[in-house]
Amino acid sequence: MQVIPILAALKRSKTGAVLVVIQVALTLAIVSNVISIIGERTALILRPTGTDEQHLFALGYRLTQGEGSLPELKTDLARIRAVPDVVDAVAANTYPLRGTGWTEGVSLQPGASSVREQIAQTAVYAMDHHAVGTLGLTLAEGRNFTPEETMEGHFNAGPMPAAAMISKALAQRLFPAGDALGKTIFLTSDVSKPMTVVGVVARLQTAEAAGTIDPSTSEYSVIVPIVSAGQFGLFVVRVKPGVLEATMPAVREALVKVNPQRIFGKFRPFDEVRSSAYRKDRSMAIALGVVCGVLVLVTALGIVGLTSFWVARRKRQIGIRRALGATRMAIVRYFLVENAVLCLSGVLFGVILAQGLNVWLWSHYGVSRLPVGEVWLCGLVVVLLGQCAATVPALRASRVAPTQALRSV
Amino acid sequence: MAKLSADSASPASKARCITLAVIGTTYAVTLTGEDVPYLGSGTKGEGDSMGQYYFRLALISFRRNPVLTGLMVLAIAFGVAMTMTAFTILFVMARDPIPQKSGQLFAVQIDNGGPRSRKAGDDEPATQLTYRDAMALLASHAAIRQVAMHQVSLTVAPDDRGLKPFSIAARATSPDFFAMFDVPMLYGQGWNVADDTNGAAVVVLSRALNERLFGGANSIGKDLRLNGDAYRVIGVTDAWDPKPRFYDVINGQDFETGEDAYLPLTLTIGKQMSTSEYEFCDAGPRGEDFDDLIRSECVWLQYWAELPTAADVVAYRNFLTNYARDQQQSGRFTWAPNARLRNVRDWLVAQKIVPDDVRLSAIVAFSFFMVCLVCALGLMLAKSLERAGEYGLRRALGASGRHIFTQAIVESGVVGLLGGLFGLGLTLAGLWAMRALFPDGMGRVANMDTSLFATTVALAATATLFAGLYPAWRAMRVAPALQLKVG
Repeated sequence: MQVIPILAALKRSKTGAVLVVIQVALTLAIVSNVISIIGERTALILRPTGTDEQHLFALGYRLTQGEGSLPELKTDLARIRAVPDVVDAVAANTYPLRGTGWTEGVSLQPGASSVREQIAQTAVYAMDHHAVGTLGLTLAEGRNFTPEETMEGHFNAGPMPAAAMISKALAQRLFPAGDALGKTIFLTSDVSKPMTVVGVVARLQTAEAAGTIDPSTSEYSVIVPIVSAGQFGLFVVRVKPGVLEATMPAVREALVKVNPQRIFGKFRPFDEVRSSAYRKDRSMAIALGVVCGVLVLVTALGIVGLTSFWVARRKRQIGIRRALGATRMAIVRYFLVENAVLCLSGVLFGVILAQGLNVWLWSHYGVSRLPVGEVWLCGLVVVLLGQCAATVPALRASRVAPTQALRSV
Repeated sequence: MAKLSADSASPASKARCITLAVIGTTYAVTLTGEDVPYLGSGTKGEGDSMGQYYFRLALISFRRNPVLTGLMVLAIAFGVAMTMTAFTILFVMARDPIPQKSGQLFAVQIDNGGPRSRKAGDDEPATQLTYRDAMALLASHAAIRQVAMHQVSLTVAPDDRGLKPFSIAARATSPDFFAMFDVPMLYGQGWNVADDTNGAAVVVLSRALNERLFGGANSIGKDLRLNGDAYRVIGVTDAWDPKPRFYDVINGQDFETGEDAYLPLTLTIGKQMSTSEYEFCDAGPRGEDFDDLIRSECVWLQYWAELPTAADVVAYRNFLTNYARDQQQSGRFTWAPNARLRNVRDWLVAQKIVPDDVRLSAIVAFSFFMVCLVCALGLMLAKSLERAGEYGLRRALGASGRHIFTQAIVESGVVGLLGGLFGLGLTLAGLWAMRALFPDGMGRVANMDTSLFATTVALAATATLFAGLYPAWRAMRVAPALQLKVG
């Protein structure tokens, strides 16, 4: 198929051709960037917390009478663990992806009380030795806490206990040589208290992990064996597979039996915690996906419209060609090649435009850089789509009878 | 090939038909009584105005080419709907929540941590104040009005009403709060300075909580048990829902509903109620109990000052600098005075209230609209070229280039209008989807008001008219003879 006559014909309807090229270029620029953003969000959502999410739920309460005491807390926990199908339970200050938590600066020297002296910021979980079994954490190195290491204290404040477990991400940040076990760390709330790293857990995301891709905010965690009895309490409970829905009310009933003077928060199964933590990201991905789809649809419709118009306009030309012996296939091919020429030029401009847009989005909104291969792939899809869109009017053109074309115009 | 047929005009219009035979092709041009003046002498006819005539021509042309017209309308509608959905959210989020006073209300920041409490290169003081700084500033009365405040969590135990106890969020604040932020009152009023000093156990309820507890009746003077203590209701606010909740945006509740009750800060401090929001302790350790917190360098109180004139602002800024200098001289601060004073607008910008996601969506939506416009432009061009014959004929019959231009513009205007109306429906659907998809805070802002309603249609019509300029200009330049000859 000769491209020269097609180009010559396009020259006669420059504006329309230019508009198709612009449209394809813009579409490619937007779609490739949007797809990249969607991919980024999806990757964010899919990160594991390091816990046995399917079998976990959290339940918070507030006492309406009394101040709460350690023996009461112990009774609560014992009753929860006695509920059928409960694997284990722990009192905690927060849990992964909850949204709010306790954050401290961490350093390897005592007395480092300011941001500049500290190595990193870390999430702090206050949970005793039941944490590993309840959350289903994987101990990568070292050991769990012993019951004796647990001390009564306050969340968000000192004094701190002597032992700590840290997440592997934090261990690698603090001890790049990989020898975290047995080392000493200090937290801001009690800068003079040395805490020995007794264990390293493979992964434990922070309470604020959902909002960020920054590993220092999402993956750096310290577990300290503090229990705090007070008006507010929070339990994380692990149950046997398949019985979560039925066990949650049973746990609440058990707690009411111990002390009815409390207001309970909502049951928070961890899969619900996850979906609400990432709701914004998921919604954004869906919304952008819809935009992408509609955009491609509009572009396709535009191509259908313009090609139809060209077909209608060139009825006579088609008729003459048919009369001179061109096959139907040749006519279809003509419009398809024309469309390919336009779409390819659009893709060429679009690739440049996409990179430009990406650089701008990257510098203003922290969107990740766009791989060139991905843009070309999108371009290929756009070209194929253009071909599909052009096929409908091209087939109609091929049905033009030579005599009809010559007579009617 | 353009072809107008007599049946495309309504039979009721007493049409006269002129049939022209041009180079083997038959045109049946429908000319109503009102056509004649525009084709001929140019005198104005009775009845239809010119605009109406073109409007009708546009409708006829749509009927002749429903697919192309439909595609145009669809493209415009999609484009405008995407744009308006994204911009509605952006607009509501970036809106001034208290326009009558936003230039007079100032968030106060004092650097109590110094450079060592921040990362290198950052000289922004903490966004909240310590208890001691807040109390010192309150006591100075350097502004017309001033408030220090935070959020507390309370248990409400309704007296024998068969209601279970429940938790609410309440705002512990200073007496000036209600006047300062223009909080509308349904019943009663806020507490005064005397109540505040005496530690009176009083509470102001939100309209919603008053409805829940007292069925919306005037509850002034009623008693209420909060956290087990008795409080007297002295006021009920009317519906008050600034978006964003500018007076407290640090704690991640920017677009949530506000607190359900308000009570004196002095009282809550006396009762050792700690904040249910964030305590930031970058400037020093918190200590274990409430007394430690009061003495610590932890920041947990939002502080606002009302400064009506520019002179007040300058004076207050000097006052803050002097206060910080005093602290420096007393040895508490080991760095130069660093205080900030930002009005509501600047504060919301500095606190990045509009999430990047929202701006990003708006950019994507706007680019989308551009594509849709390009698409519509292409289709319009196609249509106008297709109708070159008709334009040629009208020209031949005496219509001026301007007439043709107007006709084409009116036609694209009608397309835009249709696109806008259809887009309005899609925008409403889009906003509904946003409310369904996004969490409460963002969902609450996805609502359309009348001005956005009008903007949607206007945007579609204007953009389409603008896009229609070129095709109309092309139509105007149709050479009558050539078109009639070539066809």
